[in-house]
This record gives sequence, structure tokens and C-alpha cells, in this order.
Amino acid sequence: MAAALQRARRRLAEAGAAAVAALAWLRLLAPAAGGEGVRALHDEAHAAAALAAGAAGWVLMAVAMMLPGALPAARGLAVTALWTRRGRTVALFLGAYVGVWAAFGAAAYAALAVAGGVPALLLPAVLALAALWQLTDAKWRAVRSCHLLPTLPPRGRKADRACAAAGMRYGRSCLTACWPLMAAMVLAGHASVGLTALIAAVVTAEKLAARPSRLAAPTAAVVAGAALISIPI
Amino acid sequence: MSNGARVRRDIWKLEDEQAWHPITRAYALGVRELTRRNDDPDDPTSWAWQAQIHGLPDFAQDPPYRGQCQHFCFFFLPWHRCYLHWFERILRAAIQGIDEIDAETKAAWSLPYWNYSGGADRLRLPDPFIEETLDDGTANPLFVDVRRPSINRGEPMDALAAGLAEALAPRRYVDDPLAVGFGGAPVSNHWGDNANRTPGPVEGTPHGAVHVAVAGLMGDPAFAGLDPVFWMHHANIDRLWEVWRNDGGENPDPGSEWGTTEFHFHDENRNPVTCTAAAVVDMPGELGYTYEDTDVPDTGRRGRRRRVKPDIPDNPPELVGATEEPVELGSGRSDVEMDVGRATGPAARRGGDPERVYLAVEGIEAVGRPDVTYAVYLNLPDDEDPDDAPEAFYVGNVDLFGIEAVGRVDTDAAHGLRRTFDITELVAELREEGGWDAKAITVTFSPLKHGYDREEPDLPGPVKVGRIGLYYR
Repeated sequence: MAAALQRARRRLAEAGAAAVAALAWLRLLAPAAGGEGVRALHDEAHAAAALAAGAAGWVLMAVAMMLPGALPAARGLAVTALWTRRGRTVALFLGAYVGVWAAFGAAAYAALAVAGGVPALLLPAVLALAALWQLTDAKWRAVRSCHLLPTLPPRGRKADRACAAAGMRYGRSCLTACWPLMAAMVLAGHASVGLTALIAAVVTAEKLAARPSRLAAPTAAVVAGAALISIPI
Repeated sequence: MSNGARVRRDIWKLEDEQAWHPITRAYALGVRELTRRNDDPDDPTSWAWQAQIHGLPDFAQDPPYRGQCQHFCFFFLPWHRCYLHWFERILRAAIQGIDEIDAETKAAWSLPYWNYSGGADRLRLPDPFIEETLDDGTANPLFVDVRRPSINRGEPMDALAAGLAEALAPRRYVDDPLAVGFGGAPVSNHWGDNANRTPGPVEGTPHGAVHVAVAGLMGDPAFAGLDPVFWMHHANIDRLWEVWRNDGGENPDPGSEWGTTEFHFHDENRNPVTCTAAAVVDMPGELGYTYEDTDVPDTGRRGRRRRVKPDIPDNPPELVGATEEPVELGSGRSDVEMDVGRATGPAARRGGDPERVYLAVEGIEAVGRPDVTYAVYLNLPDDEDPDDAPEAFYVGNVDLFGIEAVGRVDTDAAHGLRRTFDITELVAELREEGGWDAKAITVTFSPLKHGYDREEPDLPGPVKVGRIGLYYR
């Protein structure tokens, strides 16, 4: 067993990041699955420090939703790094990547704050826009762009900077590909576990697919379905 | 060996027996018949359609039939075997309907192969492929005028383009994505970890290097199938797969994704058919043909060494040195120096020297389509001329076949381009000769030469290598 774990650790440079994503999912699912007690704690946290809880919730959601699809890219860079830099490479790349999504969240929440209230039909409208976006060339060019990983210098701060830059570039591509979906998540909030899981499944599938654009029509249909369901009755 | 199966013959042996051998002439007439069918763009048995199965202009795709070629992954060999099989059936059926071909030839006809590795005189195209007309004065369907001029003059390509030592060396069909498996990296291995998938060495040389050496239509995946040389070339690559198996190579499990993934073609009656690797691994049994010669060639001292000690550690390779900046290659010799450190991972914990050493040329990019293949040397002294192909320092080739798709975001057919070489035996030899320094290496790139006179490679711009890395295992 120990030997098997050792072998797995050697092969899975991104194992730590995968664990972080799993923990993020557990934390997201806990209020839904934990009954009244956990839900009450969750609500208290939001009530006590709404801004901090909102920011933490957004980052938590971004980690849970976006990290799984980014693990192959992180792995691709890590296994071509010096052995002692593998963990650092994963952390820098994914840290910069999540940073891009954190910045998107900050901008989106700021826009919401300026706008004041949110019309009830905005969420289905944004999901409908996301469904249309799934059918555009720009969407799939951005997804394919995620697969274009640079080669990194081997050592030192130069390698650190290049790795973080790769994470930001990857993040920008992913943001271009998924911005309407994640804008919907800003409106829905991280407590919408069903929508969170659905959109996470969509973005992960299209990242991992060998021929991603074949998913255009089915994912557009799935997101359009979510738009219909989210229309308030 | 034949089991009643038809035999794919060596084109040079055919032509040695008789100039314009009946099998060769039937090939030409069959190509002419398929070309006539180009008038119907929807005829899947036309010459144009058959080429489009491999590639469409601008790397477009028309699933499930056209623009479907499998490269840079472990489907390369089985997909092309399927492709050749159904093409051969279509051409064979067409040949049956041509009156001027005799019954004996019709019964025996199989796709010939071009064994360019069979000696210096095999490095050029046989005359039926470079003569502009047939003996009746009509246009020769086997001639393509846009090939590399030296090739169409009947001059040889560089012998390094046809080398087999690296191609046949791997002991595993699939290995770690950073290492070198005979058949290439899996496309859906660890969580779709295929952004930089490494092709098998046979896909580089001779496959890619010969594509680039012939050039013209052959130099572009979208048009390569329009040159009749393409089919003979791929028949030879397919033959080399059998040579490797005769040398003890084992294919992946036919029940795995490798064996069961379906690809789509048409038969000679224009009916859609599917094909899998599992269905084509047994040529005489399933496909009804075999090759004239599948003996294992002598691949030199290094090849013999690898057979003596073929063990591959279970741990993944680890980087021990790499270039700090991208490297630009041009039309002459380029020497690149880099520092090398010590292993600190599993290779270090095992103690002693690494069991395998790999040199990786990563992140290759180019402007346009440079028809160039670079020979790579390790620690080549300044006074050694790469044109002499000094074997004591030779690593392998970096061919650029398919480079137009690198970095593209407008097609799912895009990919990265990297070449990895197992240089364990070369390093051992350099160490024995005092030519190895564990702290620094020099990697030299030099364009292969073509024809009797060195032709300057046609470079629309510099070829960029993102990084050169040295890995221990």
C-alpha cells in the first residue's frame, strides 16, 4: 500500500491540487448535505461578514469548478520541470489561474453592487447567452488555446515568472471560453449546488475532450435547459 | 508466412526484376481510374476523397470520414493500417476493371512498398515515379511535378531520413508520455494529458523525414495522399510495424481503448465501414496480405546494446537540465550549450547512473511550412562536419512534418510538436570515449542534405525550439 502510494505520488505531480479541488467540493456541498446545523452556520457566516464570506465563497467555487479541468495542464508543466520544482510549478500555475478567476469575481461583484438589485430574469437571460456562446467559434478557439502550453525555463525566478505567466495566460483563455457561464454563477451564488455541479461538469468536459468543439451542441443544449429551469414561475 | 495471403512487394525489387513491372504499371493505371472519379466530389472511392481522408486543406475536419488522420499518438500505426487496407481494396477493385491489365497481375496485385532503408541505391524514387509519361505517351499518373527537384531528378535523399535505428529501438509500444514508446503516446492517458504528446520514433524517422524529403504534396498532411508515393511510403511504415513485432515488440491490449476505438472509411462498393486496431493487428488472418520482407535489419551497435539491456525503470523521467531561452534554427549548423544538474528524484534514490537518458526537443514552432529535417548530434566536436553524418555523435532527426498545425486554435486537429530521443546507449559510448561531461552538453542541429549537391533548405522563417531538455530515468 505504501509503495503504491509512493508510486502514485511520483506519477501524479498534481495530486495535491486535485485534493484541494476535492476539499473545495466538500466544503461547497456541506451546507446542502449537512442539514439544518451546517446550513445555519453557513448563513451566520454570510450575515456576519457578507463581503468576506462572498469573496471566500466565490474563490471556493472557482477552485472547485475550474481546478479539475486545469489539472492536466498543471501536470504537463510539472512533469517537465526539475523534480524539486514540480510542486512549486503546480502551485504557481494554478495560483495564477485561480487569481484570474478571483479578479473576474471581484469585477462582477463590484458591478452587481453598483447596479443594486438583480432582476429575477437576469439569471436565465445570462444562461441563455451562455448557451449561445457555446455555439460560437470564439468560444472553441479559446478552449483550444488552453491546450497551448509554453515550455518553461528550468530554474530560478525566471522559471517562477514564466510559470505564473503561463497560469495567467491559461486563465485568460479559460475566462474567454467560460465567462458567460461563470457570470451566471455570480448571479446564482455558490449555494446553488445543482447549477454549480452542472456548469463544472460542462467546463471540465470541454477542457478534457480530445476534440472539444464536438461538445458545442450538447453543452449548449444543457445550458439552455438550465436557463429554462431557472426562469422564475 | 504467406498463408495464402497476397504479398505486398518491395517496389525496388519489382523494378529490379523488370522496368515498369506489371504491378507498378497496374498501380499507375489504377491511380488514373481513381482520378477519373474526382468529377464526383461525393464519390468516396475517388483519388481526391481518398487523400482527403488523411487531411483537408487548412486542417479542416469533416467527421467521421475526412480530415481524420491520426498523428502524434498511439493510433498513428493502426489508423494508417486501416486507411491503407481500405484504399488498397478500392484500388484493387478498380484494377480488376481495367482491360489492359492481365489476369495474373489482377489476381496478385497488392500495394507495393518503398523500402528506402534497403541500401544507398534505394534512397531515390524508382524511375516509374519520376518519368513524366507512360510508354504510350500519355501522362504518367505516378509522376508529381511539385516534389523536391532533386527527388524528381532521381537523386537520393539523405540516408539519415531513412534510418531505422531509433525507429525500431523502443521495447514498449506505449511508454511514459515523456519517454519513447514505439507506437506513440496514448491520447487519453492521464486525464487527457496530451497537450504535448510525443510521437513514436518511427513516426518521426523515417515517416516524417521521408515526407519532408519528398516534399511538394507529400510535405503537407492535407495533400500528401495525392502523391502516389504516399501510399508506398505508408505501406513501408506499416511493414516496419511488423518488423518491430518480429523483433519481439508487443502491441497494446486489443481490448483496450487503443484496440477498440473505431475509425470510419468506405469500401470498394462505397459502403461505410468501421475499422479498429484490434481488427487489423493480424494482417494475414484479418486483412489477407503480408509483406515480402519483414526481417529485422541490423540497426548497428547501439541497437544491439539496447537489446542486451532493455530494462526500463517504472518511475517517470525527470528533468536534469534545459535551455534557458528558446533556440532558433536556420539553414546551417546550430550548436546549443546547456548546463546539466543531478537527478534529485527517483533516479537519484536508486543511486548510480541513470538507467535511461532522454533528450527532448520541445515546443517546436515555425513560420509557414519549412521543408527541412534537422539531424541532431550530442557533443559534436567543432571540427566534425555534420554532412559526414558522424554516427558516434548522432542522436536522431527532428522532422517538421505537420508543423503547420502547431499552435493553431481554429481547428481541433491542432497539436504541439516535440521529439524525444532515448540517448542512453549514445551517452554510454560517449562516456567510454571520454566525450561525456555530466555537467554540460552541447546539442547540434544540422539540416539534412538532399540530392547530390547540398540544397539550401527552403525556410520561410526561423524554426524555433522552445526548449531542449535532458531527462534521467
